[in-house]
Amino acid sequence: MNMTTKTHQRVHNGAAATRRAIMLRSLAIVLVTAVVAVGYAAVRGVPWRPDVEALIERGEQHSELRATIGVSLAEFLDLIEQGAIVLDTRSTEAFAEGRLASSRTLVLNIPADEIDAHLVTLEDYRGSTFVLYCTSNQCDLSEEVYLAMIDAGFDPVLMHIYFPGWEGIQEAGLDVESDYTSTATGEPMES
Amino acid sequence: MGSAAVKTDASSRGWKVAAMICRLIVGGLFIYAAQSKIIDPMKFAEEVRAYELAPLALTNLIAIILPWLELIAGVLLIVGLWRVEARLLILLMMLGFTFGKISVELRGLDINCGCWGNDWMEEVFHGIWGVLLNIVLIGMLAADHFAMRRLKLQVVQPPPAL
Repeated sequence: MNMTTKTHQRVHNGAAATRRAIMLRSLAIVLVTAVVAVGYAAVRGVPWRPDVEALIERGEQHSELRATIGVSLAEFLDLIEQGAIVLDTRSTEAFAEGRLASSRTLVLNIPADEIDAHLVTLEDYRGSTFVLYCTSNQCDLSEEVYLAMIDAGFDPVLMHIYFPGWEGIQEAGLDVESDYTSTATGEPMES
Repeated sequence: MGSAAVKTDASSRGWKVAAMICRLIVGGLFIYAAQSKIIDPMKFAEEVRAYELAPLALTNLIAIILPWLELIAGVLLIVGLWRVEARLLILLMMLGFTFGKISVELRGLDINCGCWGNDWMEEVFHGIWGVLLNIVLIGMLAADHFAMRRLKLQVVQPPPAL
């Protein structure tokens, strides 16, 4: 083996060792991170494995509701035009920050986490048509309120959900209002 | 020789500054992205599930570990400690995120990016813009890699002959 070949061999071995060291250190970072993260989750009480069966059931229920009571933007506008009561199921803070504005109908804030208290309010409107919305397509709050209202004996035929929710309302440029700014149209609210 | 040395010094400084800016931007964004997900891992788990890419049983574990990996890799990249490893991990994450975004676009899913928490950054990185910005960030990682190589070569190279 001549001098040049030996030098090449040394350089090659050096590069391979460097790559191995990089891989090992990267792996070490991942492992240490995983230990820290799982420890943190344990302290916070976050389960590292979700309840898969409940998730599947919820997913099926979501798909079914979307297909049966979900309305498009045009249908949502038609329902408002016909006087359907709009229920914003987001938190009180989110509602105050920005919500649908309508001169044709009522827009009520019925936060999903306070639904039991608000069912009393809704009693006054029993027999009316309702259209519910929350934050976005990924939001489950409208479904929670819908199911609670069904349990309380409200007529499912008169209930609809606009699944794109507040995001869809903003994207469509519908009239919105806020407790913090004057009535505006379509523009996302400043938080 | 004097002018060549000055030129080399200026060039080195330029590369160092460029690399530092790239690392600050990418590392800073990763640290920023991590914080809201670390605070609310269950919300992030929902967002991971919305991508419909990982098995349901693993979604919580991903939501627990990934933000911490973003945080630690981001800090290491900015500090410059185990810089190559941090860059490699961030590159792998970026490739994963970009694949996820492209897959969402192709399947026509209307979901939040889930990258930043609930603020205007979600809007900026929404949809195809998110893919393009990810490519820009990957380009910054490549710039840091080439700057590091170039600076190493400058150190190794002998001074020019008189």
